[in-house]
Amino acid sequence: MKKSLICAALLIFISCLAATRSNAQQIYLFSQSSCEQDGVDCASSIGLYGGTIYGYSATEVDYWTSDDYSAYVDGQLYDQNGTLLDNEWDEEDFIAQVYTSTSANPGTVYTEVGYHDVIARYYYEDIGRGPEGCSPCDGCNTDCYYFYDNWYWSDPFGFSFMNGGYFGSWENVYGFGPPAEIENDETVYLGQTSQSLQTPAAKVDIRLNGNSVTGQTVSVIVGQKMNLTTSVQPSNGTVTNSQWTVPGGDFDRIANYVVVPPPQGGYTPTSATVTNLTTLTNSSVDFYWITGGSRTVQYSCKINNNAVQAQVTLNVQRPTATITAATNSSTQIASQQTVLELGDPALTPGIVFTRTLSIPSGFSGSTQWVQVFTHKNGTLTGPNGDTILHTCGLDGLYPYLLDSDATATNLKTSDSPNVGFPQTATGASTDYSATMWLLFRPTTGTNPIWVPLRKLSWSWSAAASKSGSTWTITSHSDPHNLSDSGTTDFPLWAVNADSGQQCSP
Amino acid sequence: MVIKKRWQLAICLAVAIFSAIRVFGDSKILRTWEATQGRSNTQIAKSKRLAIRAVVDHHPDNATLTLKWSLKNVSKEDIRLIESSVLRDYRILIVDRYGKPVPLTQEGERAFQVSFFSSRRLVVLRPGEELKREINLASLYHLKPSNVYIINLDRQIATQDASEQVRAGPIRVTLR
Repeated sequence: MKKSLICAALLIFISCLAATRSNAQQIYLFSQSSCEQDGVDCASSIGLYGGTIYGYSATEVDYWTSDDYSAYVDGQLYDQNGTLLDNEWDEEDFIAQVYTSTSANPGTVYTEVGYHDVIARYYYEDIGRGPEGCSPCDGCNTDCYYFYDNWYWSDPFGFSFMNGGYFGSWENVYGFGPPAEIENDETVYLGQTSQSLQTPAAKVDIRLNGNSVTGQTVSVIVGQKMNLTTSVQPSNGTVTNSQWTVPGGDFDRIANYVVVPPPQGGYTPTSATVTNLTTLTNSSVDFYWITGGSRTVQYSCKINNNAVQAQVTLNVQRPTATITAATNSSTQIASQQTVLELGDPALTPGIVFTRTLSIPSGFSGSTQWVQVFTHKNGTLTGPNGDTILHTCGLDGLYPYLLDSDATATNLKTSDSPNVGFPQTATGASTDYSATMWLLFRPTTGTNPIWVPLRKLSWSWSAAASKSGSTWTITSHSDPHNLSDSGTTDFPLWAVNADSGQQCSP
Repeated sequence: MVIKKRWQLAICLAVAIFSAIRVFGDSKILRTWEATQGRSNTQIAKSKRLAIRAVVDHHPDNATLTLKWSLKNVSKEDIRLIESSVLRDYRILIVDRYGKPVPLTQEGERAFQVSFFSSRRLVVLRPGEELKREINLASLYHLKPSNVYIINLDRQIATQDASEQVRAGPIRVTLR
């Protein structure tokens, strides 16, 4: 009976803790959590729930023992330094039980100590006879009389281990042990039980796109979004002093690259901007790698004022690529004397760009072209003088269009820069300086961005004049010996070169 | 009712005037277009291979008046096009309700001048394929609120020995 009750109480208590303690993972250091003596059970237990330490202590007397004793318990909750954190006591007829609690700190040992007592409830009178030695006392001997000799607390189970007083045969009704006299203190101390646990040490876990990666080496690819978040233990701990360490500089990783693409006409605002990674003091960080290599990202913080740190090694993959540019034609007057042009788009384009690409195994992605003018100047000479233009920025559309005969292998594209002759013009000149970028975007993860792999700069200048109805090239400098280079520079622009917005010469 | 009929009459008149003057309209635009498109003395026929569908997106605050169109190959053969900039490839003519051509803004003038310096590219339109283009007319033309405008869009494509023309419109727009 008594066992079942105290076990049931313990079971309910522990079950309540266990049900919601999936993350607690406390370590029980030792367990002297229960005792059992004749007629008395006692127990202590401790648990961690949601950042709070709960202690439980109980003393239970059984049905028969409860005739003579009350149950008493004093529950005390300590930390590893012996600091008393909580203290409760209880006295009941059958089960005395107390709950203690305190907020949990990481990496700390907590001990619930139960001090268990029974309190003698009944006493009896010791009836003596006198004078000493008189006998019989049956009414015949008038010298013999009865008297109340003393008050005795009943301790039939002998919990007190004190010397008993006189007791007659009728006292046997109280139990089995030697009766003991308890004159001044009816509380009988039985002993103590205790149980300890150690809360998990303060810990931080780094998650990449929601997956735990702390201490691991993970392969990622340039352009893939690095969404690094953290989770801490204890989960309700107060996190301060967050600091990410992301190796490399602005040319190795960025916070974002945003393109406001123009519509298919190119006359409305368009821009491309890079945001550098500067915010590194939050509990999470988002960024993108541009360069490849092995990088160890660290995160440190304080949890409830305990310094912790975690790190992950990111093996950053970067595709290899090459741009090949061929100039197979020269500056010419074309299209029935209406155009000064490098090449002929219908026959032999001025510059033909192709690329090779090798994507690291395990990843996939695509590439695109973007061309940006450093400057695109032009002059038209007419009856009213010269019209001088200074433009720059994105070359028309984003991305740069592929040729109609492009394949997925070569991604061929071309450019045939030209100057159209207005009817009234008598002279025209132009001066181009452009860079063609090859950008890569992986398919891995969410919200990947385009990152630069290669770039190739080229320039073209030409001038022509009209005499009568015939245009003649007066000078030209065609692009030649074009070679590409690896780059981490992003193509940036603030205007569309087709918009008419003027730039610095 | 009378007012409505008069209004309809005015629109019809404007369309008629527009149709009459569009050939002689903005001399600068026409000159340029003639020059850059290589328009010659060859006969210009209405294209049976290409079709333009155009719509206008009008923002309530008149900040944008976007002309969007698609040039579609409606034939069963590939069509090779030399694509440059929109202002160079297409002729956009806007007239008011009286048929008077709307002048370009300074930005429009610049954009138009810059279009002489754009690249040319060969584009092959497969049967059923289309090129989509759009342009914000509000920044390029002097358009005034509470006015009615009629927009015409066309393009001339030179072939081996002739030219064909594909056109859309007129599209009537009332600015708020």
